Amino acid sequence: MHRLLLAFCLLAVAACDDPAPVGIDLVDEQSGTPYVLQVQSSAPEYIPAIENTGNAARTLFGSVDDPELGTTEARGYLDFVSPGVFTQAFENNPIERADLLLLSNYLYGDSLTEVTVTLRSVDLEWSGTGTNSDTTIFVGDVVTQSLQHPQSTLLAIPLPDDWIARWDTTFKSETFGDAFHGFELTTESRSLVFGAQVLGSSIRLVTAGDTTFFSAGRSLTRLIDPVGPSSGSSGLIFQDGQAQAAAFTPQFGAPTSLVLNRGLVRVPADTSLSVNTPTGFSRPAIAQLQLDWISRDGTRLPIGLASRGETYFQFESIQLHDSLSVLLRGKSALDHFELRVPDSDNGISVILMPTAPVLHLAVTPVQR
Amino acid sequence: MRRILLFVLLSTLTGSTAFAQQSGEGSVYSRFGLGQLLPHYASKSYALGGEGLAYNSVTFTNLANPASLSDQGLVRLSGGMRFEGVETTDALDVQSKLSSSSFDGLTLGIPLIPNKVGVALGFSKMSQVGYLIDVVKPLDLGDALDSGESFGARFQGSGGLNRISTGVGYRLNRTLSLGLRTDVIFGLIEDVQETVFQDARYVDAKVVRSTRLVGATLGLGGRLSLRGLLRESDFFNVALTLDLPTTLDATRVVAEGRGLTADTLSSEITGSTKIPLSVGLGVLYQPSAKISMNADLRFEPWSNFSSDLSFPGYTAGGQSNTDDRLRVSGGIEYFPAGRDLLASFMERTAYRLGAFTESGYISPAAGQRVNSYGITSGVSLPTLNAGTRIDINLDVGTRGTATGSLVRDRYFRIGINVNFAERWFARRQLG
Repeated sequence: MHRLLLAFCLLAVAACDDPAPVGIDLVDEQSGTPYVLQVQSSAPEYIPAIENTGNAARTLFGSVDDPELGTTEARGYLDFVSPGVFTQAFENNPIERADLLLLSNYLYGDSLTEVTVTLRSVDLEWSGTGTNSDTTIFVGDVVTQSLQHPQSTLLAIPLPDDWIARWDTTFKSETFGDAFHGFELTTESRSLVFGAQVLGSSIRLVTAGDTTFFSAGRSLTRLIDPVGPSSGSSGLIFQDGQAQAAAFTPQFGAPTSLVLNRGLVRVPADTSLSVNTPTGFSRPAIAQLQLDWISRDGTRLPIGLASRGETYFQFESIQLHDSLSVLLRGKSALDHFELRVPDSDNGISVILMPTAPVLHLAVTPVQR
Repeated sequence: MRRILLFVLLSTLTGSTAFAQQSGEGSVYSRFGLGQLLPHYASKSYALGGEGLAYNSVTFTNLANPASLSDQGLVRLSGGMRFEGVETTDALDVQSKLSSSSFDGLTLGIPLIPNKVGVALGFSKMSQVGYLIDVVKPLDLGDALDSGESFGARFQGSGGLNRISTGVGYRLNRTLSLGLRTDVIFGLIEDVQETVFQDARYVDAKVVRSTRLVGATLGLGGRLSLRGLLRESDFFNVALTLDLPTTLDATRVVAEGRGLTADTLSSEITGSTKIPLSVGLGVLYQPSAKISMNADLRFEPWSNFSSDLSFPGYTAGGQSNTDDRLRVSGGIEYFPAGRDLLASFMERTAYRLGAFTESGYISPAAGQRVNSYGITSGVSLPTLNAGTRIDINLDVGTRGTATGSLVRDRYFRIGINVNFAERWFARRQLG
């Protein structure tokens, strides 16, 4: 009997499976074969949004009358950080020269005509983190004005001698942070909006035998009474910095017997507004968009970032896949998708969305 | 008795995990309907064509016909497992080979009044689902999405229905026995669909459709025994069984993933599944103690099948590819020793041979029939314990035809079964 059992066990173990597509025609023809389901969405429309510009990597300042999109006025604010440790030469000698150095990395408007940049002192302490573009900042008198060329990548604004003399002691004291609250930057003309990179911008202080830099630390951009463009027949014109986001809703039907294998959202992008501009007029195109999932209870779920491709922004992320899977099953509480420019890309760039976004879903039908 | 208790213990331990389980896969046809239908577990009847309705329960516990339970003289515990290999061929002569092994069943027969009143308890599979199809196809998603060149799809099914049966048989007189059996039917049928991509940007999917069914039915049986019909020592049995139609409560869940990571794709679907009645007619002629011949017929009107839930081959409220099932089988047993208890080992071995033909109750498409034919065989080996035997069965058969979308299965089954029998409840004779 033992031998019998052993033989049976050996037989069972020795059996090898060789599954093949034999009988595949007996399975539902469509089941298991992925295909692409394209889900149209509603045309994007404007909805109010908060422009969180505090401590962005770039601060904007200036004013521009865009012949296509109207007026935008931005006021930039920069506060500076004391290095804390000074040389004897800096501490013991009076400051002979001071300049505000701004690293310019963004232009919107007339890039050929010089503009006068106006500096005002900020009177009261302000916060950068979590601060929006409609924050009130109390400013004092004009400190100085300086003519700058838009093409310069480094804007050097000399600070007047009387201002230097007034602040000389403060710059060298430990209470600098409490006493000095930075500058407000504006332009006199309505031809251009500058963008200054916060990292690298500074106040340069020159004494006999030493040069010290107070780096820009805190930043803010205030956008004055933003109106924003209006959508025309060619599609929705979406401009950053206008306290607007673009909302759209995918047009899903009844819950489906489908499993999502890959899901992405394509937002059409037309850069013609940035290409077809008056001579010397710079109108940058939005390079990056953020997609948020807004639930019916108002919960916001960031989906991801997408850089502009040739003709569209393409969003694809694990978060999006999971959310679309739920949406496909009809279990989602999605109210709408929301598009906006990431806070880190502080600008007033523009993009035309000529058609509605489309969801491209690679799905596999499921046997019910 | 100690051995029987040990066997019960082992069976409980191993069987509890084996219940409703199997390892490996078999016929793709088991995907359709409720799976491949299986008779009540009895190793002897398996070897004699699959039914043996008119047999008494002297040498095995015949739960298929509860009337036979009246004939028991020994307490008998039987259990077994089987190994099955299936070679499937399609119209293009492409083949796949699959194998499975599974727990076959367990029965316990107890004579309350020997050869007068007997009861039995049994567990056996009522249907079996076990298939596996792997296919690799080019991935063509058009211009909308870039993708890898191919994807793999796997369709796999497992599970089936089980029944726990309790029966009682009563012999009214030398000629007529009647019996009653209750079956608690339960089971889980799982169909798994997996899609695997070459391109890492595509998320593999595994969808599991689990259908849980539970219900109960009643089985009635009667048997007429006529002795000395053609010869002085012969007897002729005629049996009639009726398993009443029943309605199973069905619950279906479709989930992506499995176990703790499963994400339900749709809300739970509940409904009912109506199983038709089953009528069995069997005859047995035993000209002497050495030879027995049986013939059986089973009819089930599956064309009346209805369900609130769809199954492959049956769409709820829509197309149904079910058809009436007819199974005809027969067998012959040769037992050289007859009533000679002192005969040699070979003479005390029972040799069994049977055959069957069966029209499938469901087909992949309307107008198609999936018929089966097979030869069954087995030997029943004696052991040192007079009532205990080891049965080894070997079946070969074919199912379906390799034309059009259909496939032909050629299968073989090897079963090993152990029957323990001892006399219990007997008063010890003193002196």
